[in-house]
Amino acid sequence: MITALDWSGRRSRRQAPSSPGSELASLGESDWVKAAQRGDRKAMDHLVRAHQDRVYGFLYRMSNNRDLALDLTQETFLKAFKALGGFKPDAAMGPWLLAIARNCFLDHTRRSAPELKSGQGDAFEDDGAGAEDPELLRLASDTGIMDALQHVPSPLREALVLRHIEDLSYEQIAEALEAPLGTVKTWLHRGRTSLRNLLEKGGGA
Amino acid sequence: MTCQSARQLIQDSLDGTLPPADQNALQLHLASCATCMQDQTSLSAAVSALEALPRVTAPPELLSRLSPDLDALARPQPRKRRAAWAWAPGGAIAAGLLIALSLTRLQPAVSPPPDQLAMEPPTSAEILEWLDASADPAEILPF
Repeated sequence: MITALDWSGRRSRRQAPSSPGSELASLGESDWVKAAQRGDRKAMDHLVRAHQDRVYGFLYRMSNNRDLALDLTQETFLKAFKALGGFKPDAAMGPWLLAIARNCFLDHTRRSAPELKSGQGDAFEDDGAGAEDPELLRLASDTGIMDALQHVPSPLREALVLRHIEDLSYEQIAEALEAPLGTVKTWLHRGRTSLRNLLEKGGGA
Repeated sequence: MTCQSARQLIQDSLDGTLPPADQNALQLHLASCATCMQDQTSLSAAVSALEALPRVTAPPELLSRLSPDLDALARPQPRKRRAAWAWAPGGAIAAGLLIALSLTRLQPAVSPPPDQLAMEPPTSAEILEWLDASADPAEILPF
């Protein structure tokens, strides 16, 4: 069993994921980080398993594209492990990973902005396959909010995703977005207003 | 309360950071201001829609895709040293053997003299010789 993530949010909808190799389950995240810094392969796996859902979820909500989110999640962890030597083991790894994930996303956006235009994400694709699949039906119902979200400008969108989908605290968002608390609060206020206006216009199209 | 102040309090309320006293003041304002009430309702609906989005989980292929890169970054780990207590049983056996060996080495102090220990059993000829030399031949009985 992987130890609980060290970034408790305002609400607690998340279950700690399970993991094989539980002989070191009593270790804290800093112990895993130190082991990974020494090049311990099992520790690297553990850290990936502990944070992959949060990183992937953030990137998926930002990009609205599962394949791209997977690519960027892979890129995020690779960059993180390459830079792990400079990370303080006692710091929270989650916000640090999200900061890397955000930079990966922004880099990708700059490289290929047209791919991320609204309506091209896979939540909007309907090839007729699996029409009875509850998961796909649920995704279809999420289309309106996801469409609108894609039109909320950065960094307001990141703030909204981290606060209202990923349940991060202000402090954690500030760390992930590398911004002061007051700025985060302003981004959230403006982001909510922007999202509301887009929804009233019909998804921002 | 002005509408501008109310809009700020509405945002704080959505953040969950609005003190109860301000919450009461906001409710009083909303009860008398249709514009702010509409603002509060629509913002709450947007936030609720966001929070209703399900959590997504990373696909299982993520780890397998990362695996080659992580293998390249990994370094051989030193073998784990045995904890001190793990050597205790072996140490106890070794100590016992040492004690037993020491006692064996000390044994000559309470044993018969070395010349007796080294004495070979007499041969038949030697026995006959001793008998011939020490005994009265008359006492020797025939078999």
